[in-house]
Amino acid sequence: MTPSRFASTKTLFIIWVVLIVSTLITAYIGYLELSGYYFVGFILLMVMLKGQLIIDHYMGLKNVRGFWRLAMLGFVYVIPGIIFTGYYLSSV
Amino acid sequence: MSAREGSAREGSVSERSVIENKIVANKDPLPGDLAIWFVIMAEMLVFGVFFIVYVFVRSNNVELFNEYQLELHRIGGVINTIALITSSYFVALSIHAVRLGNIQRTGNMLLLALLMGAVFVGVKIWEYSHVFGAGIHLSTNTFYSFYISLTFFHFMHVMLGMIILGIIYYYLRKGKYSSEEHQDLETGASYWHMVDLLWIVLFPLVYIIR
Repeated sequence: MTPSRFASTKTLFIIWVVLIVSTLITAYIGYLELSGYYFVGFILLMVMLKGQLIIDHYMGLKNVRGFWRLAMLGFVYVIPGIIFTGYYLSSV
Repeated sequence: MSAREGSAREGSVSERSVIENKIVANKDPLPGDLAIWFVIMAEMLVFGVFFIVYVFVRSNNVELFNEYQLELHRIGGVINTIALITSSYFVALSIHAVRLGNIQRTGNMLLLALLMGAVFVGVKIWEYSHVFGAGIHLSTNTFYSFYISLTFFHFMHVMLGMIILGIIYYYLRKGKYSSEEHQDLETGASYWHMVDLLWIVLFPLVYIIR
């Protein structure tokens, strides 16, 4: 196994903090019951960020070539993109 | 072409192939067993379709979805998100530890990950007990049909992931894994991260965005 596959413990901890903080921001938006496609877009952007961090650093796919990483990233970008489109179209 | 030019070109080609080989060597192989990645892909496709159908159905019932979404226990959803993210963090630390050959720490991290999984299960059972206790079920309305089926389907994956992590912990204690040989651990970890990834999309979709 190459040493580049998994992040250092410090990186893993920083990523955990980012994931928790973005979850709390999402929760606060939910607590305030804010609606509208600006907030939907913002929350879904955070979903994309969180997804990429998990795929690259926790799953260890950052340096994996080809199909599998792209397919995983496709999920965290395409699905939130479709969700946003659906919410946007239903709010206009 | 002179012998000198030919030699220079050969040198350049060989240098390029060395660089290309280095690039390939610097790329990592897929963690865990290849079969689990097909499973992960299939699961994500199923959930992806489920999410898209949710959005499509919601677009025809916006008021109903907005009204009943407010009845959900969002604090429970937040606790569960934190539990799964933290659990994924511990699993990533366990992989880091096993790579260094620190089996004791690997086991401890797996136990902490399982503990966080148990928090998720506990909160979810509490949440379901409130929902079902209020007489709500699959056919109450379209929103609850999606809420119950989506979250329960995910809940089943959490349970399966915990069983997988439990089995890995058992074999770890039996001395099956080392810094050189721990593919099963990576396989189980990949599945567990997928469970986390699915919840990261599911939580804001069902509990928050409106």
